[in-house]
Amino acid sequence: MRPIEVLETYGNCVSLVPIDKHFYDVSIGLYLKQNTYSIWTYNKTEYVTQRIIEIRNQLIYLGGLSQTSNTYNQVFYNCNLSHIKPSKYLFSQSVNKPYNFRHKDTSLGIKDSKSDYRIIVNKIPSIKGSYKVTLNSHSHKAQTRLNMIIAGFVKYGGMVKGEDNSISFECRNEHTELIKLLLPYSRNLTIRESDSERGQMTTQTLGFSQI
Amino acid sequence: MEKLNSKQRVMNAIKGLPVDRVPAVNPTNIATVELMDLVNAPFPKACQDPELAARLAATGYTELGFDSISPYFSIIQESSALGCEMQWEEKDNWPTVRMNNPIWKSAEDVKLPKNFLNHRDIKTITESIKILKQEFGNDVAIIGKTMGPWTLAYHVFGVERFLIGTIDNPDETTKALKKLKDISVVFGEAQIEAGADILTFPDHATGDLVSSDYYSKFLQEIHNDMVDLLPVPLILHICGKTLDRLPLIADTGMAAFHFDSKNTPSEAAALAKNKIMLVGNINNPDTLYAKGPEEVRAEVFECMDAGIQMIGPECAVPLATKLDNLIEIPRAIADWTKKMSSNTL
Repeated sequence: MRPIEVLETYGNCVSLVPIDKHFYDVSIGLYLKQNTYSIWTYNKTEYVTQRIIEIRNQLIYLGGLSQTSNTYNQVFYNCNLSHIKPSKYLFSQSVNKPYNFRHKDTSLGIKDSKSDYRIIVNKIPSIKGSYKVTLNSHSHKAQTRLNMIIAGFVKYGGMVKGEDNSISFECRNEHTELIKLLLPYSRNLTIRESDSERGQMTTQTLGFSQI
Repeated sequence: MEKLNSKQRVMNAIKGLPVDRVPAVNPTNIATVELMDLVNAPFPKACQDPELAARLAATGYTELGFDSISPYFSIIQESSALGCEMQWEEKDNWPTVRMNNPIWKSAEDVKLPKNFLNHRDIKTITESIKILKQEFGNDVAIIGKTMGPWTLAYHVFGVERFLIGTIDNPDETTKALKKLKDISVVFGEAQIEAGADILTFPDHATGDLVSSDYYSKFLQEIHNDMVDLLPVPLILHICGKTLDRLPLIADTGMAAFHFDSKNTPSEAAALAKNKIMLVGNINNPDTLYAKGPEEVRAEVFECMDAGIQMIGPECAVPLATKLDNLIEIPRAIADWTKKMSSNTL
């Protein structure tokens, strides 16, 4: 398909991985139309369809999406929202990690990168789709750090902050796989997408700037 | 007025003549990794092989709907042919010159190698222009590119050494720039002979590096000379803040100035006063790379409202730019034009 046909068929590109290091350096895009995500590449290398299926399977495993029936490259969230912000990170991981990558630790916890605390997220059974974020400390310093981490979930996950250190997705449904995915990002509010300068032509990247 | 084809539209616009609509123009580059995959012409090979360069460049017209085609994607072809140490990079990054290991020390060293025009990286451009001219020459404006002496000086002397030289020994700097200018002319002439309708002339005297006084002192006269030496419309390209030197640039006789999004379209238009046509200035890193078609459209409309004569990205687009954002540029131009025509009926 030509670009204009791809856009008509699959919608706009929400995330583009310029080089798939696991498959001949092809570019792979994630497109979105009416809450259906499609994986697409213009590359015609043999077995590229198999590679797309691998990536689709990782979207399902790492992000909890469902496969659109009778397609090889389409998935959707059961809540019927698109959750664009976390989906960008999900897509990046699905392409950049090995096709058979699996979480070693399936718990919703991670060591904080800016303190000695451990971040723990638990479902709140009484409120559908809500998660409580805690640290293994109740000190004033820990609460300050916790606020920053919750802000990280809001910024990188497009989540909504609730009362008493709770967070939820806009759809108010459970997306535990996405919480797991967002945990590392939540630790650092100043994080930038890796290599975001790569491929940009500026006086800095050209080496012309002395600033 | 009657419908023009893309070439007529661009050639009229750059000369300040009437157009049926403002053209979408790419004086630098609009190739992306997806387009490389589409036509199987990846970087860096597409910068080293004329057929691949032509194939990739043509997608700007055939797939994105721009009114011009530019097969010189980067800024390093001449420097590579001069013998600079190159870092060719991969598909998703720009080839660059390793400027920490410069090839020349003074103006005396500046010499055009005998085989310059036959060097692979020079022929990639000239031969690709010939291919494009044959296939699209009647329909689309073919834009070549020859780097200005200031940019070449960064590459061959190293940025730091060159800039220090402008303070310590300005006469030597002027001498070097004049000799480097001859290289710009030779490569420009070769592209015109190959069929280029227009030449982009990037010369990175950017606002964040040099003052407008420097522009006046070292470059204005050279840029003026280029207009006489290269008999096609020239598009001067300088990144960064340039409003302070825009009146000087407008006096050079260059046909057009390709300007950066750090300058607002309305301010640029007010300073250019139609003495020089303007091309630009859709933001690359924030808008084309990171935002969506809606934001691209808003910037196109801002340019059109300000009377910018040719619309395009501010500079070479990031290689991972999404195609929907690039396609939106000509689409937004068409919609703005339609809206304005219906308002005047």
